[in-house]
Amino acid sequence: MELPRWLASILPQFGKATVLEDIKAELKQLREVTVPVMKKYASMHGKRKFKNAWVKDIDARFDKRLKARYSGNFIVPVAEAMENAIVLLEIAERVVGDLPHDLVRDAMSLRAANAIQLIETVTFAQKYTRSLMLAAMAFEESEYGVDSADDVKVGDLRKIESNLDSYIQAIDILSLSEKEVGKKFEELPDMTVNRDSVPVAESTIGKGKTDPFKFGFIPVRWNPIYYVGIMLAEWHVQNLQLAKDEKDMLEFKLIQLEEAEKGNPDNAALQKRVQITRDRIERLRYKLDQEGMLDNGNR
Amino acid sequence: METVNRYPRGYICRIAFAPGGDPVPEITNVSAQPSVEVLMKVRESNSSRDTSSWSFQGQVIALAAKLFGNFRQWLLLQLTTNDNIYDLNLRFLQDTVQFIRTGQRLTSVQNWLEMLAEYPDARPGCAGQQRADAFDIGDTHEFDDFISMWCSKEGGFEDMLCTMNVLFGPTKSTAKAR
Repeated sequence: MELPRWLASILPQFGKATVLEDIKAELKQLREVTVPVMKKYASMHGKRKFKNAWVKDIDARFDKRLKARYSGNFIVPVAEAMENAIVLLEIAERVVGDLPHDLVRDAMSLRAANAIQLIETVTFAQKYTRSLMLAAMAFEESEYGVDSADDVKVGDLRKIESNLDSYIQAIDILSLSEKEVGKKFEELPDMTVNRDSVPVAESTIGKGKTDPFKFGFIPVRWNPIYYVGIMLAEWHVQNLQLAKDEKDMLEFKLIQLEEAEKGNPDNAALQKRVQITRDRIERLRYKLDQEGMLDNGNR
Repeated sequence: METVNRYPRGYICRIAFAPGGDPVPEITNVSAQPSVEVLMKVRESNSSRDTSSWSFQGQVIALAAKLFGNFRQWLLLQLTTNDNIYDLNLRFLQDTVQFIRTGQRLTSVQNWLEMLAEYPDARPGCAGQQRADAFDIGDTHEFDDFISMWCSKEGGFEDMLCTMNVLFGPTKSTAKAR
């Protein structure tokens, strides 16, 4: 989201401790859930030649649009970006930790603004990664006779497709090296901005200098902590639970695809686990949606 | 006569050896290995003091040494003679070997417990040397120190105990009814 719009939409004020707590929760989710499961995917299917047309199309769009170079299919740069996100969040943690006071919307330092948008990019990319992988595996295993029609809801698919370009942009940002990101933060001028002063600031320091990561190209906002006053602890607990259920589901999908490839697409016990976990994920997503705690990019 | 126990998810364990070996062991179906049940109850009581004590950990390690004996031999027994282990029940063994080697599992032991077949029927002829070959366990000394290999991985001690519960523990319905 472009900086003036972003500054206009966030809460008037939030504590430095809140942001640090948010970073800690994102790091926990990355380390315990997203990175381990994506490493498994990359090692097992990173060189896979997909059979399903929808998955092939996703792979082709990554190939065409992602600037970061990789070998294998799109699972590889996604897994690498998720692992790299840990290092980048640690940089954001240091930037926020060095701020002299809490964050105020009308006098936001450029470093703070970029750090928070980096955190949001990680939040978005983590959620999207798990949704994308669940959909991709469901489509792919359907080519081997697995009845996975219920595993991808139309609404989820629509969200995946409508946000794919933003996601690829996010993966590019999260593929930047520690050195590149550190340098971008260091080179940010030590100045504060508000929604009205960004154009003036840009005329002084140069166009685009307020947004060196190009967060402006990611039009959605994903972390309600910075937009609506919600219970921080509850948000993190619910999201971690959802992430863990999605991780279980992704692991079941790995096993299901492997079994299907061996000519055994109908393992009843496995299908039952998939169904139970899918129902739990749907319930939790619905609950978070109802409570306004899950931003799906529809705002 | 050689005596072998078969546990609810089809895995077997030699409990008495015949001198010179017996080509047709006597197989007894059992509901669970009692010590595994006791140790799992202690774990499920969620008393970290109990489970982190050397007394508890020593019992788990001693039980693993007793039940697996020579881990490679135990594994070969499942792969080459056990026609009741196939599909996911076989895949769990592969995942366990991977954990002992790398500390990584495809999914958690708890998830496996929920997925594995109980009292699987035999599929005559499915066991054989070809399965052992697929496990790549040609190195006869690789698992000489399997307990320390297992427990030295992150979460390894817990993984070993829960794996013993899958291999030698009661059915899910029995465990839930406790």
